[in-house]
Amino acid sequence: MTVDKTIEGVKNIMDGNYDDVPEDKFMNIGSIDEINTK
Amino acid sequence: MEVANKGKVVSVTEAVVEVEFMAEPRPRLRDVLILEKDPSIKVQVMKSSDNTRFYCIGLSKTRAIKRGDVVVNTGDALKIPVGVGILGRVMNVFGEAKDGLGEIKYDKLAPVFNESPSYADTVADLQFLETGIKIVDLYAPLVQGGKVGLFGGSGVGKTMLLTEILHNIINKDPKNNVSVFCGVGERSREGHELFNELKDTNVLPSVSLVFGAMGESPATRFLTAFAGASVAEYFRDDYGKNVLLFVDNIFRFAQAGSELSLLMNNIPSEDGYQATLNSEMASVHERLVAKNGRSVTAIEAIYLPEDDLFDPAAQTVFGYLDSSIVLSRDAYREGRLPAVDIIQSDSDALNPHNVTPKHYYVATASKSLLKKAELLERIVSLVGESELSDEDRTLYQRARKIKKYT
Repeated sequence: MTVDKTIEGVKNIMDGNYDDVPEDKFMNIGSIDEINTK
Repeated sequence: MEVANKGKVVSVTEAVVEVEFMAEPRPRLRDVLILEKDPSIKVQVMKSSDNTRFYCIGLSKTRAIKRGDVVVNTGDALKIPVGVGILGRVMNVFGEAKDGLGEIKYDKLAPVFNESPSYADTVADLQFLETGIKIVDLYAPLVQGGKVGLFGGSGVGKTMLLTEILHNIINKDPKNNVSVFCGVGERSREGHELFNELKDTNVLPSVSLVFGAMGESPATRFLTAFAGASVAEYFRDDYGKNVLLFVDNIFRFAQAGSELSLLMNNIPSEDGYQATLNSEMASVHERLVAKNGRSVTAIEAIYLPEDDLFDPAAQTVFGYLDSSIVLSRDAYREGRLPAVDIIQSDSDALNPHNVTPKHYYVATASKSLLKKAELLERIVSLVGESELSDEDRTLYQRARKIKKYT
């Protein structure tokens, strides 16, 4: 997992792009893109 | 009648042996003395107790030493074998193999105690060292040639995180890197597990392991940290490699020093630790620096008694660290692994010069958001999340998502 991917994920959460996604989906994932596959 | 380099044992208290040298030359500090009747039994001079008497720490089991036994001064300090042959091997502070793979092959013997490099030789260049662990890379980035501390009480995952970092960075640039694992005062089971893991993942050939486990004498545990530093120095200076030094656990070094200090009748400081805690910690950490273009990156686990970050031993280490990663029991209970307390963790490298401006902005802005959410936590625990304003609820939920994501 690269730091750039981590930064992207956190920035997207802060910007509200994942406000509709339940918080459990953020657990035990690598890249933020994996949310869609959970 | 005493002969020149011989003395006799006056008292034996656990790991500390008091000897008397009636005639000159008397031993110097750190000289190793051997028992005349059994040269395999060694003690090391640590302090003079009066004009002719010296406190020594037992380098082997002191049970065989009796009052009146004759000791002989070797005139030399403790040395540890170093060389390419120690890569892939496990040894103790005396250079004895602990992996059952036969004798250790070595190029030379290096003193366990050494001076720190001069200011002129020391290089301070903070370069981001990526570990692949989200929470570490974002909030407490490691730096090449720096020191990172993993703080935490028992059972919150210090060793687990240390091992994970080891696995993730050990294979970076194997041509220029070697690793040294220094096990100080931890369970021997953990050392065994680590050895097997390194073997199974084929990284053992680039790692040298020095162990002084929990069951060893305080002298052995105390000296193991110095031995780890000596091995790291050898690979940096003689072998010309960048060294990753993993220490698990540096608190046990402080603890062993405290045990020895009390046994040598020293008066402890007000907080219960030995009065020399600062200088002992400095004598290890000041050696772990980048020198002549080659670095030692130290990654240390630090046990916190009663989860207390203000414990004097932990506080003594803080000053040497470039990055501090604090593991919290609350995060562990929430099931977040590694259980890092984001707000308490930090790194000198987290500035726009060492990381990208975007990294710096996202880390500081999200930390500030987490801090605000922490204040809201109290309200939520009393009256529930539904009582928060829309704005606060959104902030609170985003903070929870960030914690779970990282």
